[in-house]
Amino acid sequence: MPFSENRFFIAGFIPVTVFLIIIVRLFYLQIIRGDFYHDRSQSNFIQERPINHSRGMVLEQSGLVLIDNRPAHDLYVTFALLPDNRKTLKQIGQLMALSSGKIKELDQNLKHALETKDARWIELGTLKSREICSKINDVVETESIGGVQIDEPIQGKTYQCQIRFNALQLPSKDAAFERLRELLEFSKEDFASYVTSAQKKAQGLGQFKPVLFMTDIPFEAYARIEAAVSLGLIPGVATFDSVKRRYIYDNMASHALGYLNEISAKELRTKIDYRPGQRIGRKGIEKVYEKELRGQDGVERYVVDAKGRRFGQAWEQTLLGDDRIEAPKPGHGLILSLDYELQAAAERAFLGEAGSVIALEVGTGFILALASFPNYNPNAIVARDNKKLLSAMSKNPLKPWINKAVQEHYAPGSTFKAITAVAGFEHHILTPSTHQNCTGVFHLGRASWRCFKREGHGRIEVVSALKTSCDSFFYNLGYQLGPDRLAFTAKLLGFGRKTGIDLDMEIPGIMPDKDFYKKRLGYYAPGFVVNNSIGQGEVTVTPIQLAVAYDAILNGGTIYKPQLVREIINVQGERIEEKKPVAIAHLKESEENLRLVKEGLAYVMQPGGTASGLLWRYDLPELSKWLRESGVVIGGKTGTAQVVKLSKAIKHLDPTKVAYMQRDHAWFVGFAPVDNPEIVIVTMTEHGGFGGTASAPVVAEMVKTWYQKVRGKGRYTHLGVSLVK
Amino acid sequence: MSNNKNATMRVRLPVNICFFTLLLAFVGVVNIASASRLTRPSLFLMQLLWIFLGILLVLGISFVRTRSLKLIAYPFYGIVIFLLLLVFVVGTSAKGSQRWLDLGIFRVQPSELAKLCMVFATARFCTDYEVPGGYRLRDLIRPFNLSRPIIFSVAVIFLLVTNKINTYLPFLGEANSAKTLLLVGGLLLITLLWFFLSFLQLQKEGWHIYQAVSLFDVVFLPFVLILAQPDLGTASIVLAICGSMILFCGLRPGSLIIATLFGICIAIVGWNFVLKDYQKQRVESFLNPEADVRGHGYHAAQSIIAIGSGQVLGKGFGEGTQTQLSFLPENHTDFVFSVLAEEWGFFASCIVLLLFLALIIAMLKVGARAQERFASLLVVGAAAVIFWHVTINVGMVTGILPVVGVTLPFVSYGGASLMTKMVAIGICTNVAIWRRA
Repeated sequence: MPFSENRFFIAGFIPVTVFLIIIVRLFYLQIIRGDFYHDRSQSNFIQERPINHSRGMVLEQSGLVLIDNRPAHDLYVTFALLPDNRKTLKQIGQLMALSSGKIKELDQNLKHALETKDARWIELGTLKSREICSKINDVVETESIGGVQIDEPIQGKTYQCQIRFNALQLPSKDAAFERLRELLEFSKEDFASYVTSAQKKAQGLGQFKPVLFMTDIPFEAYARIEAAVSLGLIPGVATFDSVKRRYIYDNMASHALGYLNEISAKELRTKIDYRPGQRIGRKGIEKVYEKELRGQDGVERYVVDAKGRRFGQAWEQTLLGDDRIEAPKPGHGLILSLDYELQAAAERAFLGEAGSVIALEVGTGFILALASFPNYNPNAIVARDNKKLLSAMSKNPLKPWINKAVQEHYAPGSTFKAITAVAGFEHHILTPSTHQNCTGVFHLGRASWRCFKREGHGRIEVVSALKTSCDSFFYNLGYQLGPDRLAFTAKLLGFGRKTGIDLDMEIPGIMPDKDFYKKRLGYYAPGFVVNNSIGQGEVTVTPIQLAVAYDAILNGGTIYKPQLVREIINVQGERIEEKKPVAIAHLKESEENLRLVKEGLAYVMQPGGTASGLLWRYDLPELSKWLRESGVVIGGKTGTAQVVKLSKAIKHLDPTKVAYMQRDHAWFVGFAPVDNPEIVIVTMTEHGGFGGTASAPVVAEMVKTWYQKVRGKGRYTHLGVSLVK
Repeated sequence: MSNNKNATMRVRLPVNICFFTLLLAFVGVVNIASASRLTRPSLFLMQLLWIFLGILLVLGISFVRTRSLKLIAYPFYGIVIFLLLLVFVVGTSAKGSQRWLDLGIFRVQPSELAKLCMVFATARFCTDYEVPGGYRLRDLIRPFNLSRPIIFSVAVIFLLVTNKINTYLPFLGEANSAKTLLLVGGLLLITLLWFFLSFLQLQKEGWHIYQAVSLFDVVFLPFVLILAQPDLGTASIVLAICGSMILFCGLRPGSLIIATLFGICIAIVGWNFVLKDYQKQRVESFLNPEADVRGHGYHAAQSIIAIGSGQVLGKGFGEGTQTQLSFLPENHTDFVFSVLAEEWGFFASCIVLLLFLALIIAMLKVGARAQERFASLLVVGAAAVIFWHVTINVGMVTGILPVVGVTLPFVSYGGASLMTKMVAIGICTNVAIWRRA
């Protein structure tokens, strides 16, 4: 024995150890991680193709469609399929059996001629073979290659053909784009940017794929292009059907409805169920109800091999089974609480340049109209050529992007007096018979505040104080309440916090209490609450907050969450969810006291009221006449929010004499009917001057519309019976 | 050796070795049939033909006397070296390396032959050149062989004659400068000293062939030639086989440590200066296969997915999605184990590995019972051939080792690879049969 047994034993130990390691590895891969790799192998061969569906429609409360989808056509270009003059030249050169050097030389000539716009005919060569000549002739004719000329001059008995080309007439990419431009009827400047941006997308392998050239081409252009495509005139160009969101009434309720936009690459990282190129709600209802409106894409799965080729159907059945096709879940439709007539009236009647109008159903919190000015056309925002519009909107000092009903806050001015009164009742400081003497000035220590009526209102109780909008009464009441008690009730009514409306980017406004001042200024002075009690000073509110608070005062003390959507319906029009009014809080005090506040607000348009001028407006004769003759009484409160702090002596300035941006904001909160209010409307006209002049007519006009076109008609008047069961 | 003539041939084929081999070949046929089901459905028939030829080869080798195998060891070595050199002149390239010799009727891959010839040559060398107490590193390299200073002096003379020393070593400055002269003088001095030491060794040990050639030379010549093709997989297998045999003969512990350290140094130098980019990419993709799933890590990643997705019992014959949908590359050759693991699962994979283990142990048992050093070493070499192929192949398909082109013995499709392993089996049967009774 040359080697000991022991040595072989040790040698045998090595493969045992090594194979044990391999078996452990196999155990890890196949048993511990088996499920993981099983999934991996499935994701290898399962390809998924999304099945599209349309987004849900949006209707107003009577059933008129506000947003729907329309068919559109997108234009795609495959760069590799576009004609290429150099390729054409090479093709003919090869048919003529020219040397590669000669072809290169011709290529140079072509390039030079194109650069210098040389329209001369360039000699390609002369051939003696009749066969090749007719072959080239065939190619030129069947592929309709322009710019190639074949002459057959007779010289003696030998056959001869001469081939020449014209650089500018050879089919080229530029010529193809020029033809496309003519079909689209675009100007040269506009078209050039599309070509460059498409070229960017078509780099590398992209040139073999159809690249999106232009979305939503006009229908006439679509028809012309389709005709040209079917004739084979524009190789490499194709149209594909798509769907575009349509905002039927253009600017109407644009801030409430919002719009869609293509999802960004950054968002795609977090939103995994979206695909590149898909659209996502950006603002308003479209954003907040994205989930409901969008629905869910369907998926068709099929089996592919390593090269991406589809594999046999039999395997698909065995490997994928019954869940091969997942049907899409179409998006739900929304029935809004907005009313077309009221919304239209609000947008028609608004007098200022910027501001907002909100109409609320009393006792439910449903929003009947929500307008912000200036508004925009969502169709134009999502259109192809939107750059100019977008930059103009961004630069506009009136901030058209902002929904001023929920995203802007102002000092509430005198409209806040009702809230101070409620706070007085709530904390038992005020009783119906509490009288105060208005001398035209309120003193506190060395400071003094003037009532707008210099001579004073004399002895006055709360109803009269609201009627006449006496400042002194509320200075005093506010002082007695103190900041915390005033803020407590105001916050209960919805100020200083978000109302919870189903719109995006709502802001809370400011309802200052003692802590607020201590944090902000480091100290609190008793005069602050005096200012706040008449809606000046630090207190700011959004129009929607004011509407919600007045709703609570009018409906007997319940604070509702404002809502824009009444119902969610499925694609068949069946009701899926009906939204109910959502009560957020209740006031403690008796309805009797709230009735007193209501009574104080009821005389605003009666002779002597702060908005009584509306009864005799010469510029709005029809409205004034209706107000005088219809018997409808509109209650409410005017308010003026100072934009620029002026000396206390001159409190309100004549709006026509001040620069626009320094004019006061004009509030009007109105409701009707006075006895049993059904609708409360807040109008804020930015820099409108006096509320009774600038904002009250809008409210009156809407109340008129309410009585003439909306009230008592019920919902769904425009819906077919089958749509809602 | 006196009893050699009496050595009777007892026709007793080692049944267990043959059984394991045929079983493994059968596993191969099944998996090749599955892997090529859709692309080349008759491929498994070709493999059956190869197996038949392989059996003939085993029988053929079995009937040659072991002594004759000893005689042909060096001539065989010489032929293979010649073929390896020939590959560089008239070889056929495939995938960026020259590996094949086209002989008209069929093609020969000399590097495949080299694995066998190294078994023979190493066994022969270690039989003839024995150091009591085990080899030291200097016994393997023999730095004071007369051939060393001769080669060195030829290089120095070449430098002097061509007078280009300054071109090769630009830091020396101008020709005939003091630095150059100093260096030339130094080199000459080293040459003389080296000759002197070589003669001392010669005087001490006397004349024999090992004054010219060392085991190191025998192993490194083919290794370098294969590495230069370049074929890292085969080169490292050749090194591993020879290394295993030398280790089996016995290496002193100190030498083992130094050799290991030296190997690490070589690996570092090799990584930076010798390895081609594609080889580096393979190693890099092995270290981090997920980083480059579509590129070089693709093979490794897909193989791991195939194996893992097989789970306990596999997906069934012809049902492996990785195999059938061609996500698994080269699925009937290098990655045939992944096909097995995917379609038959963990238990079947383990059984195949245990079959290999049983085969290797059976081979070692034959070696243990051999009466001669050469026969024993030959069998150990044959076992090393099987062991290293299985380890490197399964290691690479399971992601333990980088992907190099190494087949799984008896299971992978391919005539050349099958014949090599059949020769290894033939060696064992030969030794088992010609063992002195």
